[in-house]
Amino acid sequence: MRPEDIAQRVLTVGLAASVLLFALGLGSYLAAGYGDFPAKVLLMATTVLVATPFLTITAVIAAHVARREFYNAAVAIFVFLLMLLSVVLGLKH
Amino acid sequence: MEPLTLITIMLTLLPIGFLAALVGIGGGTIVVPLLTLVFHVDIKEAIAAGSVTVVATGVTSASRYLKQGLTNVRLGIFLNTSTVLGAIMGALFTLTAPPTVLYFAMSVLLLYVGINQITTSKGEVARIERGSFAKVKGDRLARLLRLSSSYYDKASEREVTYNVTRTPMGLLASVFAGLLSGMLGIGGGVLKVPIMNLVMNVPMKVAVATSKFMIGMTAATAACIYIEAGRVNPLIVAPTVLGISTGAFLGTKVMNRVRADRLKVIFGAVMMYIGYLMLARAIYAATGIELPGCLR
Repeated sequence: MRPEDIAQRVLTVGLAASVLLFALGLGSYLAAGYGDFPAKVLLMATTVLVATPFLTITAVIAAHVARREFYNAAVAIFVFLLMLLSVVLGLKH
Repeated sequence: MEPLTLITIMLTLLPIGFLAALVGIGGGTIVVPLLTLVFHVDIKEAIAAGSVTVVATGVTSASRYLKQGLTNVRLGIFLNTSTVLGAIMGALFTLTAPPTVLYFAMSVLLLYVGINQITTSKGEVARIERGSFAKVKGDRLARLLRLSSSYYDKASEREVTYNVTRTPMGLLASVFAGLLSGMLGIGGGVLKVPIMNLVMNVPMKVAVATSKFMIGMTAATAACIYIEAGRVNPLIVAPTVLGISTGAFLGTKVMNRVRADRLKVIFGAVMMYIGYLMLARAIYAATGIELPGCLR
C-alpha cells in the first residue's frame, strides 16, 4: 500500500472516531449536565484526536519499509523521534 | 458553560476552519484571541484549546487532501525534520530574544510574504498552463527521496506535474520557520506554504495541502503536553473542534476548485492581516499605543 493511502486511512478513522466521541460527550452534557461520563468521553475524544498524527507517521514508516523505501523510512523515523523528543522536553519544562 | 455559548463557539469557529483549510494555516493565531476576547476563556485554557484545534484542522484537511491526491506526504515529512528541530530550538531559546522584537520581525516577514503572494498570483496560473512546474529540474536529494509528484487541478482541468528543487534551501528556511513558530507559539503554516511555493517549485495547492499535513503532526506534540499538564478543558475543546473541523471539511471541498491565482491572493490577504495583528501587538508592547484590532 502507498504511504499516501495508509496515511489517509489512519487520518480518516482517527478523525471519525474523535468526532463521534466529541458529539457523544457534548450531547450527554447538554442532555444531563456535566458529570463523570461526559468528562471521560470528551477527554477520550481529545486523546484519540491528538494520537492520530502519531499513528499516521507510524503507519507511513511501516508503508515505506514494506515498499523498501529505506531513505524515506529513515526520514520518517527521524521526524517521529523528534516529535517524541519535543513531547518529553515540553513535559520537563 | 451555557449550551447557547457552546453552540455559538461552534458556529463562530466554522468559517475559521474553512479559511484555515483553504490557505494551509493551523488557525491558532485567530482562535486563541477569539476565545479569550469574545468568549472570555482563560488564556491558558484558550492556548491549550487552540493547540488541539490546530490538530483538528490538520487531521481533517490532511485526510481530505490526501484523498484528492494533493498532499505530498514525502515532502511534508522531509520538511518536518527541520521545522520540528527548529521549533524545539525556538521553544528552548524563547527567553533569549525579547517578544517585541520577535513580533516585529515576524510581522515584517508576513507583510512581505503577503505582498509577494499577491504580486506573483498571476504567474502561478501561467506556470500551470505552460507546464513550467515540470520543466524545472529536481535536485539530487529530491530525486533520492522521490519528492517530485503531480496532482489533478480541478480549476484548470489538467494534471500538473512538478519537480521539487532547492531542497537544502527549503530545509534551512524550514528551520527558521520552526524557530519562529517555537518562539512565538504559532503553527507555522504561514511560513511553510511560501517556502514550498516560492523556494521549492511546489504548486500553491500542493503547498497548502502539504502544510496542513505537517501542521497536524507538529501541533500534536504541543497538544500532548497540554493534556498531560491538565490544561485542556474538554467543554471548550469539544465545540471548537466540532466547529473548526466542519469548517475545514467544507474548505477542502472548495480549495481545488478555486483558481490558483485567487488562492494566492486570499493567502496573501490572510498573511497581511496576521502580519498587521503582530505589528499591532509589537507596537502595543513597546509603546502602549493600541492600534485598531490590537489583540493584547
